[in-house]
Amino acid sequence: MTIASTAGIVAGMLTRGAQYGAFFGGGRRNSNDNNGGVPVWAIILVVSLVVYAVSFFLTRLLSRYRELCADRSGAYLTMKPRALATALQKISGHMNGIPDRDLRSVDSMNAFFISPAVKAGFNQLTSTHPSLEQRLEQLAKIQAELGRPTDAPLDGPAAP
Amino acid sequence: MTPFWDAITGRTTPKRANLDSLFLVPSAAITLETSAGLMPTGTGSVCFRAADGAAYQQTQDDVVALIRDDPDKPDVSVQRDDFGFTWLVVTRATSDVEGLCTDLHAVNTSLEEQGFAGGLLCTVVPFADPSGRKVGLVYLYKQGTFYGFAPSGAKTRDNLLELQVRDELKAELPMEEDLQRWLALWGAPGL
Repeated sequence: MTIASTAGIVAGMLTRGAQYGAFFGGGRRNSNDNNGGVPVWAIILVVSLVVYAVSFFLTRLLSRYRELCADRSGAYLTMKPRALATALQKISGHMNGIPDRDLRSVDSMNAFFISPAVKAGFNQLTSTHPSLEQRLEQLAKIQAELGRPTDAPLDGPAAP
Repeated sequence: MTPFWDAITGRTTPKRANLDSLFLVPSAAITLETSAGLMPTGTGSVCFRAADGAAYQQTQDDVVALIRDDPDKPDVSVQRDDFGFTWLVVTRATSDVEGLCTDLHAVNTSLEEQGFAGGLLCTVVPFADPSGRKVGLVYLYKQGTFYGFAPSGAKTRDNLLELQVRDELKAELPMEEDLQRWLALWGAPGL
């Protein structure tokens, strides 16, 4: 991607290199010098694995943040957060939060509902896009900001 | 310890509705007007499942008579919907949200006192803005919480406006946290 993921890529390459080092050089080294020290390739492997794991989550986090940032600037640019929200809902299926079922038809069925338990699980941690719910909440905040009535009527006919 | 023990034994205690929350609606109405331009429409309704028999009919007549006795002479009507629920709709002057909420509170408490609490579903206070958007502030009797329901078409709803209403009123009203419970009320009176 960009500079942000460089550390991850380097770590991944080192991991791969260390694996080969282990396969091809391992046997010879073991027979020659068994002085008991931790082999260099093992250290590289562990360090790069850790770096890779951390950078994996960080790049995903960055990706989600960028997505939210794009939503925000898009909403301000078009001044229509609502249009953006309906488009988002359309392309990502239906929002799993707010239902379309009627309260009255559901009332007698309440006993059969099992509330969804996990909210921000592992799934959310590794996804490249923020959840629809999160994106809509941000858009709702922008809409509230844009939709606030003016305090004092401007010059000309009074605002309602 | 008690919640833990309840979880172990699998008992749940139903939430008790706190009908006094309805008296918080007038101040919430002011917040909605100043922050989102949403004005009360002057109507409000209580939705419940009517029971059979004379006791229920008498209670309903008493409630309607009680509200009509008010010096302001609010308009009361009783409607049935396709789901078999009864709507008691009160109409007052748009500015009189306090009076409206008092009426709705009276309807809820009298049905509750006469033992029809199990049939009470929700109370809806609709709001509208100059551009024609409508949102109903729904009080779920069985949860004791509020949420916004904003129909934007025949079977579509404006989720963004609903979330906005929740954010605006979070400080004043007990808002429903679980979005799964924000169920629709298609064709509710006044929406």
